Amino acid sequence: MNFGNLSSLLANLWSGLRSLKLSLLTLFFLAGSSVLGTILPQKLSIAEYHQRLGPVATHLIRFLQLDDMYHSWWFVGLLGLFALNLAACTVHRLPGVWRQITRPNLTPSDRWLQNRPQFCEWRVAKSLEAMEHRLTETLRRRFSHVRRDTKEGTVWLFAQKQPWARLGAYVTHLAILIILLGGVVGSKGGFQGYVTIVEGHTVERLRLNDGQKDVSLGFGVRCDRFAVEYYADSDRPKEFRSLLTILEDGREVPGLVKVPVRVNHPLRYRGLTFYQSGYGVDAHLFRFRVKPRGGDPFELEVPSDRMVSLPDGTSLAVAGYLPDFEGRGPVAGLQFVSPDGRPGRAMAFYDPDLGAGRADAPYTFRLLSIDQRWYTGLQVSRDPGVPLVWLGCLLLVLGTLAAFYFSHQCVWLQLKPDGSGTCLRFAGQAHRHGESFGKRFANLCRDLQQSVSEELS
Amino acid sequence: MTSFNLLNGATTAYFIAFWLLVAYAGLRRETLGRMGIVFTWVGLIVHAMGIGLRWYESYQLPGDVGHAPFANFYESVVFFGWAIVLAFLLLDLKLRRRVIGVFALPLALACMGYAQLSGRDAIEPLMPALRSRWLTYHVISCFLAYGAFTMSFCVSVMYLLKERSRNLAPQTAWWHGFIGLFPGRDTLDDVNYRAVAIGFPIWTVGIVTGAAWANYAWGRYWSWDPKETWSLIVWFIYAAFLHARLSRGWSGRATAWLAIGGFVATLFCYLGVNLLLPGLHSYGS
Repeated sequence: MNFGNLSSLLANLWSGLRSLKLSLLTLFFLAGSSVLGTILPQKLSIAEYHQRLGPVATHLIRFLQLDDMYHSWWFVGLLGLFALNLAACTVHRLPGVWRQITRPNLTPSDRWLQNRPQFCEWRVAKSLEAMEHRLTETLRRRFSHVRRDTKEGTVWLFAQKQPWARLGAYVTHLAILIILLGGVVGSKGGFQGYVTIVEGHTVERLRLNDGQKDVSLGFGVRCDRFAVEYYADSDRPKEFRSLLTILEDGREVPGLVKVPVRVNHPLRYRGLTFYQSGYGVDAHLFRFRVKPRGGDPFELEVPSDRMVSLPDGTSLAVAGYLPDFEGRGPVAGLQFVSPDGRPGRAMAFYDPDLGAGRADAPYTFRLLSIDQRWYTGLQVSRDPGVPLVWLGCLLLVLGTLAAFYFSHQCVWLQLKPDGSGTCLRFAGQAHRHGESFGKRFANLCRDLQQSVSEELS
Repeated sequence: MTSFNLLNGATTAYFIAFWLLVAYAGLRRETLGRMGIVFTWVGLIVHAMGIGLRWYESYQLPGDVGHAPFANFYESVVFFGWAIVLAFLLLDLKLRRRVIGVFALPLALACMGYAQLSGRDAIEPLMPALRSRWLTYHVISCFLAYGAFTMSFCVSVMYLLKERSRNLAPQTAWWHGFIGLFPGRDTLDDVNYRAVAIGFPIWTVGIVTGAAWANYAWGRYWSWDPKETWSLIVWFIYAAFLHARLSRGWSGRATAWLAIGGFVATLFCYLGVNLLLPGLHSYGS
């Protein structure tokens, strides 16, 4: 390929990449395709799409990865194009803007001054030297700093306000790039998982959300207790709370014992964050008063999912229960196997008046309470991109505020000797809010005229 | 006096103000316009008192249910109405064109009417996910931005009406007089831009606070939930608006239509997502 062709191709590519037309197109495309993703149900199985939408649509969905549209090749590509456009536009424009605010044109030509959005000129029959100090002071009342330059007897005064507002747009662009970078860092270096821990148990591994992979946490997390708190006199949950303990090599880590983890109040440890996000009943705990025939009664706790041994070797399990037996409290059905291998059954009532079983039974049982043993569900994530995202968000807010709530205002006052008097040209421009700047400019112009006419009077 | 009575009072004041402004638009009597604005201010203050009292009332209820009054659909639509009226009155302070109220107040009235018809005005305890101080910051910034975008919508409609009536020659004297009350087309166009420029950073704050909150509550700052996605769609549309206007010199009809499109997306973000799409903000319905 011819070198000239290549460079013109690159130049075309560059000007296309930084063009505002491309910005608008990507913004509209991003908006439009995002709509699609909210209408089409996401992350269903291919079979479900087939059943709901038919074969043609399913084919399209598979090709365009519409089942997970926001992570599809073309949506990510669109975001990449958006990022490139932002970066190219910033690289192209920022140097010029930077020059304008750091090295403004201090000695502009007459014609350039006349072409500013705000302009006025008048003549005063007084020498330049006699007025300059007064005019500078008048300008300084509105602008803290006034710069002066001179060339061939002509004097220029320059003042500006809020020049940093010009950077707002570029700070916003940079912020978006940082947020996108944070997203990439998070998706490459982070993961999301879910873990359930039964009260009293410890887990050391985590199942990731995508795929079936298990990863080791590198430490243990024990759930000491889970509780749902309700609003008073209501069945609305107020708070889900797990008490978690972190274990290193099986030992409790000081300061991380029975830490309450609630919705909106996660626990962070070694780069992982644990969020309260689900719960359920793992097992029921039955408490019985057991009276051996001819022996002393004792209390016994039996989980619904386990067999428990009595002192004489009889093993016991709960076969089932009714939460309420004819209005007289709960009842549990028990199965047991005596030490000689003979199976047996018994009922345990909550109500002491109800039958205690056969007289020759080895044990009689009374049900004292039924409690629940909970498991807690924790969303676990590692996202090294989050600090970048927050930095980006902060810059995004500051950038948009600077770009739209503040305005870079510049004024130039040119004093040119004209015979015995002086010709004054006053020009101004603001990068935002031109109308209100126009009013302020007119006032300032009047003040300048008065300040020099006073001196004459 | 309960917050419900105060909010009813505010609705009544807006209703009277609206008809006073309609009469002003028809008869062009300055007094009517001034009275309309006075009633709107009274409504805004009573409305604010109603929201404040509801906040206080929630803390008086048994069972520690106290929270900022932005938690369910009733409360949000009441606050939307307040944000619209606030935006209108701030614009009126600047422009002194009462006729804008003929367009803005019906939207505020629709909000208040919707709130009252929904019949779900009981103060409800917060579900665990909403028990966060981010709730207040997130909701206030989102709804202030809604208010600004609503103003941009109103002046865009006025711009298009004015533009259209200029092109159509024969008009009734009444219509001509009505349109004559509008600010000039350049002013309408400028106000459209200014409203979007004021709303856009606030909307950005709304999205950012939402992301921060989501990160605390769910462990992800962004999960492409329909509400999140639609808030981003609105952001994209207004970002396109600002670029088209500031850097490509779009103005007049083009930006007016773009602002109307942005407002439709805003409304969908607020209402449509909750009514039509499933997602994490479903408690808002």
